[in-house]
Amino acid sequence: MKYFFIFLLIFCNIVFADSKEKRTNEITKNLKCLVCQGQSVYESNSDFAIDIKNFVKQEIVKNKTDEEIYEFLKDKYGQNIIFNPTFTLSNSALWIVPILFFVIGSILVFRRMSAK
Amino acid sequence: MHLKKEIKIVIVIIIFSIFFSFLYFSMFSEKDFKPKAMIGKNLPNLSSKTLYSEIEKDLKSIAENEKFILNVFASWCVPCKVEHPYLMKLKEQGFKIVAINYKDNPSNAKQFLEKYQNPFQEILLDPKGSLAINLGVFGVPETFIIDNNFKIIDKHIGPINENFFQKVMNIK
Repeated sequence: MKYFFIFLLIFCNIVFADSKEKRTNEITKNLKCLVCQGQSVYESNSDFAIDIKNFVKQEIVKNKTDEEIYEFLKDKYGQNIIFNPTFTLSNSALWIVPILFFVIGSILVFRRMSAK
Repeated sequence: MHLKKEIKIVIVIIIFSIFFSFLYFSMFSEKDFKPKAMIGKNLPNLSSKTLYSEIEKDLKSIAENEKFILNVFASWCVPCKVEHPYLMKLKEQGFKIVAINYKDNPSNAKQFLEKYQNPFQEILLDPKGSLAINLGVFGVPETFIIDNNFKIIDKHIGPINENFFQKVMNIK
């Protein structure tokens, strides 16, 4: 029985450590390394990226949600630290233009096809 | 609507020119990141052990509701040596300067300050860079101007220079 509990404890430790590591990786893959050229925090080994990775790990240990971690970092470094930016007026073109091009293109193709 | 082919081409060129000039100028309107996201915000309440006393101190209690300068430095950082004379000049002008010693070896930091003189009233240790993240720091050196209500009124990334010195003098 004693060995069973020891095994269970080790097993749980490994599983939880693994899930925390996974969450850290997922979050840091969505964070931009602001002092690097086109790298995520996950990919970079700069001091900045290492600090952010450590911070994310600590916050996960403190049971903070992903949103709380992102909000904190957005507050400190601005919206652009996130690779997946939220919709704002200044980046509206980023979201609207592809849809606009698709609609205009579809209309043009449809008109040409119906003309034939 | 039967427009001439030339007119159609001109219209398409005009639309594309407007669109691409919008994209081109929007590249400059907002930089890749906002290095000054912390300006206008309140100074977070940070505490850490200090370099000389090893006692845990609170940044706000060191500042005592006075306007002050917060400098993030490290002995291994070459630009920190470049800016050091300006920090000394600010100290001579009577400014309170508090430092955060970023990811440094305390004995190296002490040697650095012995060699170049110490302009800091207090030096908080940040061995893991956690204080720096709370301040939105990108790297060393970085310098903040904080008013007497603990509001960050300006921030300078990189070694401070004559312009920054003049800016601080004007704020005084």
